[in-house]
Amino acid sequence: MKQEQLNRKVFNTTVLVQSLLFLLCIWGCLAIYNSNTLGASPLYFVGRQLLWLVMGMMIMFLAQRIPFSFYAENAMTGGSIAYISLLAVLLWGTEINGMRGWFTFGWTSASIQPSEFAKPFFILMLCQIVVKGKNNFKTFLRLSLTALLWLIPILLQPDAGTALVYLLTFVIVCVLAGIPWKYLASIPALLTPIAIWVLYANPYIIKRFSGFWNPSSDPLQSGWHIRQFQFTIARGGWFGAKMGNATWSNSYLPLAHSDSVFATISESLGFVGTLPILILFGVIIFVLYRLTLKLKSPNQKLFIIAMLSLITVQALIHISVNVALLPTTGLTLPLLSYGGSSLLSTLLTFGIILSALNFHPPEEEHNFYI
Amino acid sequence: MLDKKNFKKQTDIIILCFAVWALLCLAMFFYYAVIAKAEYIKLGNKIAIRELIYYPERSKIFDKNGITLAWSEKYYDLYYNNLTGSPKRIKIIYRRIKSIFPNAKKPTQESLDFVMLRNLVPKQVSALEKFIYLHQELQITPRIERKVVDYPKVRIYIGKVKIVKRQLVGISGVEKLYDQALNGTPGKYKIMLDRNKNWIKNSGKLINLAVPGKDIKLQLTLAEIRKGQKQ
Repeated sequence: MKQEQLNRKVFNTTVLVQSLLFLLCIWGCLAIYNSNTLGASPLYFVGRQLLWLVMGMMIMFLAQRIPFSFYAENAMTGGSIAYISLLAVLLWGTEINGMRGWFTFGWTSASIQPSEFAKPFFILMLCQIVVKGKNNFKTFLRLSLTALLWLIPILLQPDAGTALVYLLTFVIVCVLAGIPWKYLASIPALLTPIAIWVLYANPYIIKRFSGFWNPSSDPLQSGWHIRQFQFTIARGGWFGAKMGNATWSNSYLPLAHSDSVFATISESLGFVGTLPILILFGVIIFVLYRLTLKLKSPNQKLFIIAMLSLITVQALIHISVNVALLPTTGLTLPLLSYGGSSLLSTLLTFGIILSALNFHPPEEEHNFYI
Repeated sequence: MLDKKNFKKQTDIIILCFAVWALLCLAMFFYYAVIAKAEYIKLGNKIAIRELIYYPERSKIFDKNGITLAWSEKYYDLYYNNLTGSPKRIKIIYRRIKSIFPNAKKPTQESLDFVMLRNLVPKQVSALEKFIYLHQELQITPRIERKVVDYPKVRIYIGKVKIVKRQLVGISGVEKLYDQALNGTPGKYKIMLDRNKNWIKNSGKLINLAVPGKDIKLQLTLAEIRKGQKQ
């Protein structure tokens, strides 16, 4: 493909992706409103989310205008700042829902979740290691060490859901980097002692698993959340209970506007009404994926696919939890769930992806990291 | 060290894994939303739907000249259900209620059900709606009282009532004699409760309409009853 043609295609895709992202975010706002129609202030959460959306879109436009080389060159600096914030939140963070993962600003009642903002920087660092790596074993060792260092503060919050997203993204980067399968096979062995420590330190995870396997055994405690997902989706049926009538989400579903937003949408719009949202997600991922493969720079390819994978992994875990395919984890659905940190960081990630697409180097110059 | 040759193949493997995962999610989604819909709605209804009986207001008793001798009055009280037993919680809720209703009584830590306010008027009930939504300890409970004209002999003649399963039942005098006629037939309705056992707005559905009882007109006048004559 000629450079000119590619540039035109990139421009068209950028406009398409921006429009689809905005559409998904608006859909999310409707879902958030729908989850609070019976509440004392139905517009409280949706009003805040709209504010985050305006800010997020601005951040995305800004991020895509910065040349990708800037992100690549400053990956280590950005990563270090993000990592320090992950450590700092353990010391000075606020505990919400049993997790010390937020910085709150008392006078505004706003809070920031560093583990959300750290995601793109984590990937940038991993990509940087892959690009600079000279042999497979050393690269794998560096990637593993970096991932481990990032996972520890997240697990100490404790935020097992986000840790799982980071872990799966690390595995995906290893696969994309072409790390031999014999090294990849050692990951489960490396993870076993960490998994034992996590389960020992957080017995609630075992309870969530037991509630997941048999929700009827303890329907009011460990099985409660799983049961409510099942009841909420069942109420949606084929065509849903219509907007504003999501009674079950409003009354029973825990965190209906954030961690359970997919089930809320299912109750309002039903199977038929929810499918377009999933298709839209798929279209965004597919369009970007197809275009990414046409780029010449392998570094940008690696970065974009890794970023898209992170967003996809998070979305799939959220949906899996909501359809009772996985035990409960506190993860938001990117772009649709309530939460400033989640929305801003996802739109920032898309901004960097679009920058990587727009600022692709000429054909002969493949590796500008080094 | 990026393996440029195999990059597309590796990406395809990852995309394929995502596609399989997404299909699994879709299958589960379809199962709960369509295939097992009825079963899970039934299970959910077990915890949320309650069938309630409501009683029509007990009818009046008149004397021969149409003077009302006995009638029912409905009152609403604000209760504090001491769910947590936390003195801090009592203090916060009491302070908030007192800011609007200065005559509210402070709940004691020992009592499980404490009446904070008695005989609320509709305007007060509306003012309390927001507090009740925010604090599950608060509950407005209706109370029915049977009133009889204030003459000792008439009181004895009309008789007494007691509350059995939230319904007034005559236990002596005319109240007992015409108990069934005065009470009428109770009605039934379905409601949906939220996780705090509060009634979800607009969720009520009528099953049977209650049939009010008939007013009883005695063959004696008030003066005759006061003199002690028997019907």
